[in-house]
Amino acid sequence: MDVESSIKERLAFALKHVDLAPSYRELLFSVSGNYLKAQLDHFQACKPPVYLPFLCCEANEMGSQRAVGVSSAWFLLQVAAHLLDKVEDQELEKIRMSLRGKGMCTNLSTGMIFVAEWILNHLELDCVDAGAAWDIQRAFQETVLSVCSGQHLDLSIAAPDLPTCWEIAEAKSGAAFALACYAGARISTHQSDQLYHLENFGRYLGTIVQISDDLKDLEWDNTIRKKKKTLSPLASAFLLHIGENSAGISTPPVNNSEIPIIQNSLILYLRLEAMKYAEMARNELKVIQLAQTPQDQMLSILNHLSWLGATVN
Amino acid sequence: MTLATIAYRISTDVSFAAMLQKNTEETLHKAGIDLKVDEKTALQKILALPGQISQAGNFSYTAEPWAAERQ
Repeated sequence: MDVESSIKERLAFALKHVDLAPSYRELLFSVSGNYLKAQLDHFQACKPPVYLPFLCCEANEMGSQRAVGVSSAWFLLQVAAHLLDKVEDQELEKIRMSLRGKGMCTNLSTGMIFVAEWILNHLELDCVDAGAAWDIQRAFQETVLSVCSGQHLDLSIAAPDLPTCWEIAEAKSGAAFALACYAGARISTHQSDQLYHLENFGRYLGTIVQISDDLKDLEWDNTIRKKKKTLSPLASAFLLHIGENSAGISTPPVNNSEIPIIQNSLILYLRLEAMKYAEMARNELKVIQLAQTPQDQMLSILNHLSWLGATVN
Repeated sequence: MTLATIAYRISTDVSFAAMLQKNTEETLHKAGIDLKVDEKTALQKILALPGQISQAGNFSYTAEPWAAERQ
């Protein structure tokens, strides 16, 4: 199946059926399409994350074509969350020049969320029965709220401790990827054990993605903080935790020369956590019966992302 | 959160890192660190990487570059 064409066709179909200014319709379509193409082009070693709903549907012995609506809606939410994140974190310089205005970016994200909602309201196009469609919409709405809640904690707690950092990670990317797997699987099965374990697989995979995002921020911080020489909130939480929990290890105060060592140990810590979450994700798939090929492809995504740039795949 | 402790000690204590690579179980036991199964598996995979484990956090990497369409 041509995933790119299928998603773009569904998006075009949705946009055609709502009354929008042509320029806004065009922007929604082009930005979504560009992000989709970028994701598909980037992942060479494994399937990209947008495949997850398709794979989870297929893993339960159902044709992946029926997951087009769910995958399209999930991808739109992924892009909307990414854009909103950049507005809320005041990192608009990280996105395309034409979207760098806060108002433009926020309005585009809002549009994407409601186009996703429109698509979810028309899952009959994929022959999804009414009961499953209702449950999928419920899952989408609850997940969006969970992500907003996680983002609220992220924005409002100036100095979160390490457990709170993990709580935020699971509430944001963890919940979003759990949704991808749950919604994809829900099209093809209503067996609660299958749904439960696939949802957990997605949650752990998503937490790994959040870890990789944190690592990227650290790299960014290393660049912009060269003059400031201060620690990121995550590095501060890590250091605080070490000081509180490790007998015989003295941590703060940290002088400037110690910052690279702290960053290095934090990166190692995040890699270890990513590997741990990957192990937990693998264990979720071991206890359920899935079709072999999609299962292998899901594991390939997991293996690739959990190595965080190491040359394994 | 004991993985945090281990990561910090590996990065700041070369002898601990070397002992951990040589005999993981004994070193963890001596340090009074009790890991869960998933954590131990993760640690063993990192320890199995070639090169000095104390440098394992020092690598260049990019996340979600598909989303970083800077123009």
